[in-house]
Amino acid sequence: MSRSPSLPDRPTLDVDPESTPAERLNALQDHYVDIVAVNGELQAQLDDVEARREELREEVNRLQRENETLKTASLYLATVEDLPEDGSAVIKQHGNNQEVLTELSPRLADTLEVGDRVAINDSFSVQRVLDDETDARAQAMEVDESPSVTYADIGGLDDQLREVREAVEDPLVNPEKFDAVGVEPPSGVLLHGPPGTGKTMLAKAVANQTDASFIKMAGSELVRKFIGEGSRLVRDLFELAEQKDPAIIFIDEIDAVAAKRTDSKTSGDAEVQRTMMQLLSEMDGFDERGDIRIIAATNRFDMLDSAILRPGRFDRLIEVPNPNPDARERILEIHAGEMNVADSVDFSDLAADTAEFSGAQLASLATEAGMFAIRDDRDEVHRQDFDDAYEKLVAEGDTESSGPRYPSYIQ
Amino acid sequence: MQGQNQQQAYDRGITIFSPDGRLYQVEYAREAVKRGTASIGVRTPEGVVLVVDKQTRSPLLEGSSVEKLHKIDDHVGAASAGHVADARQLVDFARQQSQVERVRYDEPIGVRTLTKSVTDHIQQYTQVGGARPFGVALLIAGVEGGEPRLFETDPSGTSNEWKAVAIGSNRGDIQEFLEDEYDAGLSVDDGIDLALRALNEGREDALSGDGVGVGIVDADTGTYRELAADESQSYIDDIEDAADDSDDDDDEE
Repeated sequence: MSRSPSLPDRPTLDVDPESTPAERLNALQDHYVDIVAVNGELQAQLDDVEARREELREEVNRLQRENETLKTASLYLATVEDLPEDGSAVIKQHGNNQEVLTELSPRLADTLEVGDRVAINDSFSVQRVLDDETDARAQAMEVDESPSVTYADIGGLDDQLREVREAVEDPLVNPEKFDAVGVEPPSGVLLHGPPGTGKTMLAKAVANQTDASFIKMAGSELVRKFIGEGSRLVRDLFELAEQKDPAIIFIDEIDAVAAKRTDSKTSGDAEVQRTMMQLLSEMDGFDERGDIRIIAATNRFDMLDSAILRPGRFDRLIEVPNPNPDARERILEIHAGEMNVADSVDFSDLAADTAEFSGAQLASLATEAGMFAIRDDRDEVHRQDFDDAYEKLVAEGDTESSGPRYPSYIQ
Repeated sequence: MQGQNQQQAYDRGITIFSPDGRLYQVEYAREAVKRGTASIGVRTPEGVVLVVDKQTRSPLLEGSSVEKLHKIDDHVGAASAGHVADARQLVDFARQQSQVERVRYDEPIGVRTLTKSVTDHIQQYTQVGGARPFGVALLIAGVEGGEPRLFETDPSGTSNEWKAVAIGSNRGDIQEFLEDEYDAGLSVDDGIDLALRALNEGREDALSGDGVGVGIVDADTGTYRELAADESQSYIDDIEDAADDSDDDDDEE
């Protein structure tokens, strides 16, 4: 904002030597008035500029201070371990676990509690009190927006659905029923079965239907680069669930962390196993866990460690099989519900022809059939489209059908 | 993943035991047997029946070139499942042994003796470095002193004597069927019938005379013979008729 102020014209006086003294006095008087006015104007400009200089000086000070702060060392994190009465505190630095006794400023002494996280500087004096820590990643796993899947969208898994609801929903909704009978509700259910049979969908429907906080995660997210991070995430996850209780934790593809323990000595495996052990102790360990239900899903049931399958951890092992013909019919009806399907299409007939299809394959069948109709420039899907889609899907899945099943030297 | 690594360290050489006492190469050889088509043996007081599944992968393949039934001596036959070429080696060995027996002692070799010498031979290939186990199992059927005998050999060199047994693919289901349906007093015809029905149990497509092989060692004559395709077909027709009849019975109920 550099601006050179426009200076007023400097008044000049040319006195006529031949004028009378009265005229000269007049002229001088006029000149004096001019000079006073100009003086006033300049004075005002000077004030402005001085004010501006003050402003800039403050700006400089501020920037200097900012620069100073930037140049000072960052603060360290520590946890308050103990608060003796004399206004001091025992704090333990994160990382190197050094314990230090430090004086507290009176301002902080009142507010501080044991277990708080604080920021300390180089000389170990407490600078600030920080918020309670839950891993931001654990926070991110809470599902705020419930998925759009409802129980009605799940075809043919009536038994499985009932078991899941009994184990997960009822204890949260009607705890008094369990109190009356005097049984502990099952704490966890494990859904297992071939791919595409609706395990995750079941969990989604539960999330949609329940009022409890729903926390979802994939087992692979628990595998971390650094030792101890995976188990900390598990701990944070359960802590978060406890804060939000009643809560449902859903762990998809749990085989990523809960594979059988072996003697393998590679550190990567060992760390994954430690993460699992944390999971084991959180699920049914020493600490009371509160009103938390766990749902897990896997399609490698055979790979799971036996410790995670024992009652008390996963009480219910629910198999989600490939659908039977009735279930297939129901699934097709659900998927075709939105589609413009000709009345002549008989879903029970179609279900009989799609033996060994999983739920996901049936969904794909319906979509493909729609695609065939679009290719044909129709807006109604006919039986022929489903047949074409079936041919396409079966051919895709079975590329080796032309070759021998086993080498011909084996008979 | 972890299991595999651990296992791989012990499956390189057949002469190396795994810490839990297994010989992985031998177990893999058993897998080769499971991939062969089924062979079934049924022992009856009148003789031993061998039935093999000869389904061909192509209609152009000559069924007679599928080697699942082998004649070892006049009084001994064998059915194999697994590597064909390995089976031929064992059959050749067995034939030699039976000829040696005839030259040395001038009498037909005992089925049990023959089986033991074959399994001893197989066993060597599980204990000698640089070799690989036989990827084949045999059913050795014969008559010894007028008595029908039925033995099974497997890639480890173990032999067992059976009343009725199946090897090859679908063994579990077929064996279960045999256990349910076997009767000690069967005739040879009943034995063929039982074995064919057992074979049909695990199959998707229908049996045909070309698609099965039937070998019989008759206790009276003490000779091994194989049925021609049309003879097998007539047995299959009988089974189908009987099945139809029982279907009709069901309908009437």
